[in-house]
This record gives sequence, C-alpha cells and structure tokens, in this order.
Amino acid sequence: MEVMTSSISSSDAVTAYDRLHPKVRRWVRDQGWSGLRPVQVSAARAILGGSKDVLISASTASGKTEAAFLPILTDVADRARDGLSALYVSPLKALINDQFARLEQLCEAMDIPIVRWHGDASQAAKARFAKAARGIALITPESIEAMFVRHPDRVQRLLSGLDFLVIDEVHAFMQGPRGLHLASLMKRLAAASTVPTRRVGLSATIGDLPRAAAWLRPDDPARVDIIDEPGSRLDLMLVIKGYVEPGQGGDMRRTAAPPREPNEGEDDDVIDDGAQGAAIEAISANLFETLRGENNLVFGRSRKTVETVADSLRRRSEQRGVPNEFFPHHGNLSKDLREDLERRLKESDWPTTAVCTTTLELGIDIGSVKSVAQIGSPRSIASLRQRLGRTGRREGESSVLRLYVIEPALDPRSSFVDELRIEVTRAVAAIRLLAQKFYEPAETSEALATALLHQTMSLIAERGGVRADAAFGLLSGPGPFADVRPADYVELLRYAKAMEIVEQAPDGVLMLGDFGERLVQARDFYPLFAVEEEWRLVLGAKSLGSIPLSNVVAIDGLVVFAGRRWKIVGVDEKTRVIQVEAHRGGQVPRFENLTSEETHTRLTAEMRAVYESGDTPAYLDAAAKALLAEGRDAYGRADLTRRSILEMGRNVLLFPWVGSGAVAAMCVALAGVGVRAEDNGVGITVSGSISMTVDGLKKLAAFTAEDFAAVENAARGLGGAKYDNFVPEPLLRRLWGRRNADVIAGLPEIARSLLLSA
Amino acid sequence: MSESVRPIAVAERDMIMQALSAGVVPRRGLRHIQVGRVAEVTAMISDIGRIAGAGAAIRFVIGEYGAGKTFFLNLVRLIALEKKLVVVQADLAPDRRLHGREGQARGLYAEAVRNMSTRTKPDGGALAGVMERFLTDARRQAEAAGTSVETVIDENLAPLQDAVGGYDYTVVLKAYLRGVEGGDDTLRDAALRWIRGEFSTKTEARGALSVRNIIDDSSLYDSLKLLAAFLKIAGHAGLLVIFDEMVNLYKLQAPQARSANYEQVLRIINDVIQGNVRNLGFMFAGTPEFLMDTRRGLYSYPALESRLAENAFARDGLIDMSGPVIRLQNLSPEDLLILLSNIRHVKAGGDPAKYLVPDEAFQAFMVHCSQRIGEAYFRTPRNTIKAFVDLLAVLDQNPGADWRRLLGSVEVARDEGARLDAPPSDDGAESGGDDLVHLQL
Repeated sequence: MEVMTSSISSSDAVTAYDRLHPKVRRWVRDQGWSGLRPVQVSAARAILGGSKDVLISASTASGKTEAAFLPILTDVADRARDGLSALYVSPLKALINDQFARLEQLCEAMDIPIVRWHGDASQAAKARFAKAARGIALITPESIEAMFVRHPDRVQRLLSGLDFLVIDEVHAFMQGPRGLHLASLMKRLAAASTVPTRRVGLSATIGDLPRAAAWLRPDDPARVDIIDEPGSRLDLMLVIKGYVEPGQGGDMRRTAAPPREPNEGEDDDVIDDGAQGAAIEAISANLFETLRGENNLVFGRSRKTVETVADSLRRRSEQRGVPNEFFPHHGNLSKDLREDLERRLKESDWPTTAVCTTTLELGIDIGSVKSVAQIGSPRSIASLRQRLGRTGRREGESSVLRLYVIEPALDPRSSFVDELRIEVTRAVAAIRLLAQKFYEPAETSEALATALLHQTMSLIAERGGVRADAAFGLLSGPGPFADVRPADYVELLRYAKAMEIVEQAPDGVLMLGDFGERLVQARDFYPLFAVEEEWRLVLGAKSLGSIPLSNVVAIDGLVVFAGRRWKIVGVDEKTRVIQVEAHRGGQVPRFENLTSEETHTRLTAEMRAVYESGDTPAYLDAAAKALLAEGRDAYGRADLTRRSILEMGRNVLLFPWVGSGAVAAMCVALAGVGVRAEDNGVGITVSGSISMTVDGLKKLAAFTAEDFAAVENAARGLGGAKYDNFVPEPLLRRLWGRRNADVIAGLPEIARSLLLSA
Repeated sequence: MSESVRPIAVAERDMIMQALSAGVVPRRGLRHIQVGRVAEVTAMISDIGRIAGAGAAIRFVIGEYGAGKTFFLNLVRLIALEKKLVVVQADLAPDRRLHGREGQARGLYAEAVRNMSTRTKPDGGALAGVMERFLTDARRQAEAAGTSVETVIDENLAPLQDAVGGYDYTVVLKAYLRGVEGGDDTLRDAALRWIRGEFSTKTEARGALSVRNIIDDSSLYDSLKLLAAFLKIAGHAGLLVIFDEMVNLYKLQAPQARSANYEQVLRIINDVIQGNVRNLGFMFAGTPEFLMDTRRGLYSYPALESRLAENAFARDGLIDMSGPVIRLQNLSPEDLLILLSNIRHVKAGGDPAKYLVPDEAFQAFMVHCSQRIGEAYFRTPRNTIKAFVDLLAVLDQNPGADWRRLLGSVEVARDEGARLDAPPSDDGAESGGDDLVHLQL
C-alpha cells in the first residue's frame, strides 16, 4: 500500500481500506490500483466514521467519484429498508453515463441495482428499477423535477428513505438557475424524507469551500466535513497567440457571454467573439497544423464559432486529403453525434480534436487530452481552470494551453477602446490570476423569481394543490430562496393569479390555473433554464441536432452544422424538421441565448496591472507581444494611470477598473440621472459631453438611500430567466436590488474616485 | 319532532353527546337532533325506495363548508340501512378518486368496501358478515332442495356471469365457499381481499385464487355494479355508494385527470338515468365549486353541465328535488335554535322534566356566541354546538350552578375548518407569516 502525500499516514490508509466492504476491496484490487489515493482515504474516513455531510474538493481526475462511492457502497451494502439508498445528481447526462460505466460492475458484484435516470436513458430500465425500488440512481436535476411533477408517488416510494444524496460538480451548481433549481429540489427531497439523509458534495478545487459547504447544507454548514485535497502544482505550457482581423473599423468588440449553465443545450452564446473572416481562418490554419495527430479540445465561446472553426478544419483535412479528425461538440448537436465524439475521444486510437463550447468543460471522462486551445480571452478564471483540468492528467505530463486572441485592425476611425487591445491584455491578466490561484466566487443567480414560480407550480402539481403558507414555509429559509420575503411571495402569487398560472380554491389552497396547467404539462417544464424552440436537422432518418427556430430556412438553403455543410432539401413546418443532404456550400446558422459574460473586479484590476507593468511575458507570440505593446502604448498616451475620464469625440470614456457587475450597476445609475452609458468591455462609454458626465458622476457621488431605490427602479432588461415574463417587474427589480446591494452601495465611491482624476 | 316524550336510551344519548362534544357527526341517533331539511330527506327516502325496488338513483349533495353535508350523508346512510340497503362510503382524497392510473381508483373502491355497513353492522367492516350470510342462505337453500351448496351458488350467481368481470367475480365467490367449507383460511381470506380490492397485481391474484383479473383502476364502477348485483342475490335490498369530499376532483392539477374522472361521473349518471343499472344508488357530496366551477368543476365537462344544470325556477326558497342536485343551505339562526333545543332534549334523555336550561337560555347563548364570533356561530355551527354541549355537561355535573353565570365564561372558537381541511402547513408555516396563512388572491 502506497500513500502519496504526507498528510495521511500509511496506517490511516490501511485502516480506511480495511473498512471498505470486501467486494469493494476486491474491486479496488481488480482495478490494479496500488492503493487508495489520499482523497479516497480521507473520504472513507469521513463517510464511514461519522454521520455528517461531506464535501470533497479535489482536482479533476483525482478519483473523487470513487472517493465518495466506495465508502457509500460499503455503508449501504446491508441496507434492508425499502427505497433507494443513494441518489447521485450530476449536471450532465454524459457524466451520468460515464459514472454508470465506472460503477456498474462493482454494484453488480454487490447486488446493488444502479440505474441511469435521465431524459435519454432507457425507459424500460428506469421502470424496472422503480419497481424494484432499491439501489442507486444517477440522475439530473431535471429528472428529479419530472418525478416530483409526474410521479409524486415515486418520490415517496423511492426517495423518502435516502441514506446519501451525492451532488457532483458542486461548484457548477453553486451558480445559475440550475443551481437554484437543484437547491430547491434538495429542500423538497428533505421535506419528503422520513430519515436524515447525508449529503456528499464533490467539487473541483474551488476557492471558497465554506461557501460550498453552506450551499450543500444551508441550514447547518457546520455539519459539513470538508475534505480538501489541493491538486499538484499546475505545470503549464502556455502560448497566447495574437491575430488581427483586418478591415473591421469601428468597435467590433462586444460584451460577450460567459459559460452559463453547463448543460447540453445550454452552453452560452455570444454575439461574436471575433469569429469571422480572416482571423478565424488563420487560427484554424494554426490549429490544423499544431493539433493534428493528438487528442485535443478547442473551446470557442459560441456555437457559431465552434461550427465555423470545425467546418474550416474539416475543409482543410479534405483539401490535404487526410482523414478529418476535428469534430464539433455543442448543446445543439444530437445526442448520438455528441456521444460518438465522446467515445472517440475516450476510447479510439484515432487522434481526435473536439471543437466545443462549455459542454466538454465539466468532468466527463474523455481521458486526458494532449492540449487545450481557446479562441477568445478568458473571462472566468474558474472556467479556464476547469478546461485546463482536461489536459496534463497523466503523470509527468504538463497541461498545454493555447489562447487565440483576435484584435481589430486599427485605422484612423478606430475607437480608443480598440487601441487598448483589451483581448490580449485580458488574456495575460487571466494567466496572472491563474498563477495566483484566484477563483471567482460563485454568483447568485438572477433567476430567483423564476425559480420560485417554477417550484411553486411544481409543488402544486406534486401535492395536488398546496397552501401558500405551506409552500413558502417549505421553500424559504436558509437556502436558495433565503432572500425572498413573505410579501415578495404574495406579490408573485397575485401576479401569477392574474396570469392564470395559479388559482385558489375557496379554502385557500393554491391550484394550477389554465395557463399554469399548460406550462406544467409542457415537456419543457422540467428544466429551469429556457429551452429554445428549434428546427430539427435530419439527414435521412438520422437526427443531427437542432438550430433555433429564428433561423430562416428554405429549400435549397445552405447550412453548416455538425462541422459539415448541408443543403436543405425539405422543410416540415409542422413538425419543425429540416431534411438536409450533404453539400459543398454552407452558412453557419445563428444560435441564440445572448447573455453578457461577467468579469470579476479582480480580472479588470489585473488588466490595469498588466497595462502598467513593463513586463512582457515569454508566453506571448510575436503578434501578441506587438498587440500588448500597442495596448500599453495607448494606455500610456492617455495617461490612464492618473486619468480615468477621457473625452473621445462625442463620447466620454470612464475607467473605473471594476468588474462587469459594478459597470452594469454604474450604467443603470447613470441612466437614472439622465446619462446614457454602456459597458465597452473594459470600462464605460458615455454618449454625451464631459460636463454632462461629470455632473452625473457628482450626483452619483452624493447618492442617498432614496437614490439607491431609484437605481433599482431604473434597472431594465432584467427578466432574462425562463418565467420572468410571468413575474411582476417591480419584484424583479427589488430582487435585483437586493442581490446587487453591495455593488449599488459602492457606486458613490466609484463615482468619487472617477471625479478625483477629472 | 323533538318534543316527543319517547325516552332516549342512555347509550344512544351518551354516544350523541360525546360525538357532538368532539365536534363530529354522531353515527347513530341523528333523527333526535336533525333540524329541517324535510324536502331533502323526503327526496332521499324516495331514492332509497327506488334503489330497493330494482331501480337506481344518483344525487349530488352540494353545500358550503359547515352546511352539514356529513350530517346529511350520515342521516341518509342510516335511513338506507333501515331499508336494508348496504352502504359503502369513502372520502375522496388525492390518492383516492374515480379514475386513476396508479391505484387511485382501486384505493377509493377498497376504502369504500372496507367501510361497508349494514343494519346489523352499521359502523363498517360488514363484508365478512355479508359473505357469511350469503353462504348460510345458500346452505339452507341447498338443504331444502337437496342439492349441493355449490350447485345452489352456481344457480344464484348465474346472473352475474353476463356482467363485465362477472365470471371472475363468481370464481372468487366460489373460492370463498371452498375456503370456508374446506377450512382453508388462506383461500377464504384471499377471496375477501380480492373483493375488497386489495390485490395490486394480477400475478398475485392468479397465484392465490386462479383468477385472471383483479379489481383495478379501470374497473371501479363495474366492480360496484357487480357488488350491487351480488348483494341483491345475497338477500339485501341494494347498494348505496356514498362518496364525500368530491372537491378533490376539482383540485386535481392535470386537466386530463379531471376529465377522466368526470367521464366516470358521466358514465354513472347516464347509466342511472337510462335505467341500465339496478339496485344501485350514488351520493356524491362536495362544495359548490366542485359542481359549479366552469373551469375545473363538473360544469367544465359540457355533457355534465347539461345533465346537472339546476332548475332555473328553483331559487329564492323554491325547491325542486327532481333534478340530481340537492343543495344544502347553511343553517339559519332559527335552525340553530331548534338544534340547541334538540340537544337539550337528548341530554335530558327525552324527558322534559330533566331539561338543564330553560328556553330563554338558547337566545342568551346565541347572543353570547354571536358577540364572540359573529354570524359564524350559526353558519358553521360545529364549535357553537360543542360549546353548548360542554355547558350542559357542566350544569349536569354541578347541580347548583347557574347557567347565566356560566354563560359569560363560555369560550367558542371560530371554525377554521375550511382552511384546516386543506393539507396542513406542516413545513414550518410560521416562517410564512400570517399574510400567507390567510392569503386570498
């Protein structure tokens, strides 16, 4: 028995191993493992030795899943009670399939039924499993939701006696609507439960473990044992490559979108990340030359980029007469295509590069890839670290990262923001923060009201009607809806009544209204994120995937999809099916979901540090070096070290050097005092004169409590979440104000410091 | 009616007073306290006569919370038992309804049959007695005719064979016979379980009884029809089925589920109206929204609305009992006055000499309650009656006590029953605050 770190003695490891079930030990030996890894030893001790919840934080590929399951299987091996012993919740169907494959054999040996329980899993297997009513289910939040809504009896029968609730990828669930959703479902499972259920969270190494513990057990975070196995030192081989997109003119930069929900069909989309024309062709050429012959992942920020690059790479393969080894992977592709690619990455001997969105960011076991490439500068360090975790997983291998950034060609009409070269600067800043082991804290989701409405409908369906006080009593309190007050709920319900989403029986019980019934009946009710209406692309009898309905389609139209080019040969409006056949030409379809990607204040501040430092990192290629120098030159010329307000033609640029959340709040507040302002990617662009801007800032600097309320009221364009159309806008604004209270309270300070330099 | 000098038995008196004090409807002796409802009761008596006379009947008993639906149903039940009908009774619930796919309809059937009552066993659990009597009668017939019991039963049960599911029914009844005759308790119990709808899988039933089918979700109504036919054969006048809390159908959250249930109601109505069933009657009780709500009540189902629409002329005190809907009005202060006087009478064992309070006490008591809880004291009289019964109990046990002095200290609670009947807020309602408890959208 070998033990790899000093923190755990070899006797600990021996004891932990010996406490495992004999069949588990045999399985460990059969795997050819030399022993338990440190995280597995710690987890076994915590799970078998105690009765608390356990949060296991360890780097990717450190055997986290086994760390949780080996002791859990040991613990439940002799369980006599009816109902499932453990429920494992994962954000990704693919991850579930993967864990299933890893655990199936062991569970079979231990006579513990195990099933994949998600939308694409075998109905027959699920039905068999539900009938036997024992064992372990690997499930998605949406499938838990479906069970609550469609089969509340099953919740009672299967899930009311859980010994363990395992949440994988806790860090991914700590933000966004799906995280809220799962947290709410966890509350409801607890309410349905007749026994105490221990929660086991699995997380990649994230900054804020106490927060993760509080997420896992909101009403008693102290009950969570935290196991933190810091990964080995990050050994990174890195290059940032710069590209100039010629002839763009004007400001091509946009605030672009972040990884949102890590789910199939849910990866983010951006207006563009420079994925056009010459630069993207040049990047594709470089990718083709450098990545061929190995397994790699190429991340693009949008599905459009992914399709464009995959198409370009395939064409290059064809031109050279070599087998294509570049394939796209994103949420709009059909399950078959995605799974084929995952299998090819993991199992086949053919070199394979997946061009993907966030879909391959999380821990699906696709084996280790040789390198990771990303098109566009990183905005989330946590997400960058996730992606890096896909490479360098073998002993003695480094992680390899290539960042491709695109800056616009400059001409006399170029904006100053273009001159600042913020893409390359941000890339450098991100790498510096990576080295400092920085992680963004999880953001609370803006889908609070949507989630509350969704869960209220679901509770009504589950219980056949529910009283308002009972619903609120169950959902509120520590946890996802802690910020919601009874008066908010009353407002939400009254509005829902007006929308015929709920109605009330004379005895006060809430029931689904006419429209509410239709919402709940719809197949897309289960996910809390919005599901777009889509065209389905079909080749012969085989589904390729889907594109948003907003794409104009016509017979003989050309489309690029799944990395290939197609001609549309048939359109069925009714079933929304497009028949395609292979063709030489094509056009990348539009994919929607435009959300702005948050950048943390630390990243923006680090960009400033990059501008001010004279150091030119060795990991920049010549072009990137030149771009960085240009950016620094522009920064110096404008004297941004001392000045934070610049007059540029008819616009004024403000440089508060804060994150995108604070910038957005600034823009709202400025709008409230009559100044039109927008996020320009690095600071704020005001349309107006300098005197007007300064006046506005002075008003901001003297803000009182009432003015803050006005900021809240000026907030527009909230309501991006699934059911926000059915939520009263004042409530949305109030919740927005509450969530951003700190940021709003900090506005006068930002305004004052901007004014200092004026 | 209360002023009869006929004494009331002590046991009956105590049972009535105990029930009233606990705020529930007494199972027996209702005639002593019944107030008004003459037309309604008369209509039900004629229904019962029709059921016993090889006909059928259906009634929807509609009333607000507190209108006395349960009281009325119990009264009718007792009258039906007097007339030798068998009564099965159940409350609907989320997991007990007329149609379901996951055992809900079977659950309703099983609950009703568990609560089967007859004149000799008025408090439920009468199935075993019914079966015994069926067998005893068959033995007697066999003896008289000099044939075997089996033959007699075969002959008697022949009419069942034509009905849907009738064959299996006779197989089970004969299995019961074999179980009893052969001392095979397992077989006998399995047959009883089958009739009570307690088998959940066909496989299980095939193993125990060699029948291919069970009473399941799809056969609720057919099984009740078979039960009625069997009861007639077994020497009873017929079967009255009482389903209370029908508002649970209105509360179903899926439109398809509501429709499917209302379809069953329609089937029953059609059969009854068209004379397709015999010796079988139904009473469905619920609140007005169950009937009238055009989005989710019975009226949401067009075929039902036309059949159940009430006589437009029957309002403002005019009544028409020929339609299937009986509307129970809440009590009036005058009704309550009579009720209090009836209770005094029962408490005195039917002897006016033993009245514990004079007539003037009723008015004083009602004024007192009215000051405490407003008109709820007569609209939802449960707590008012409970307070009155408690007052009488104190006067009874403390002979010197003055009712006037005691009256001031009588506590009468507001009846939150309509809300409390709803699923309780067991999940920490306190955090919801009062706003949400009394929220009216």
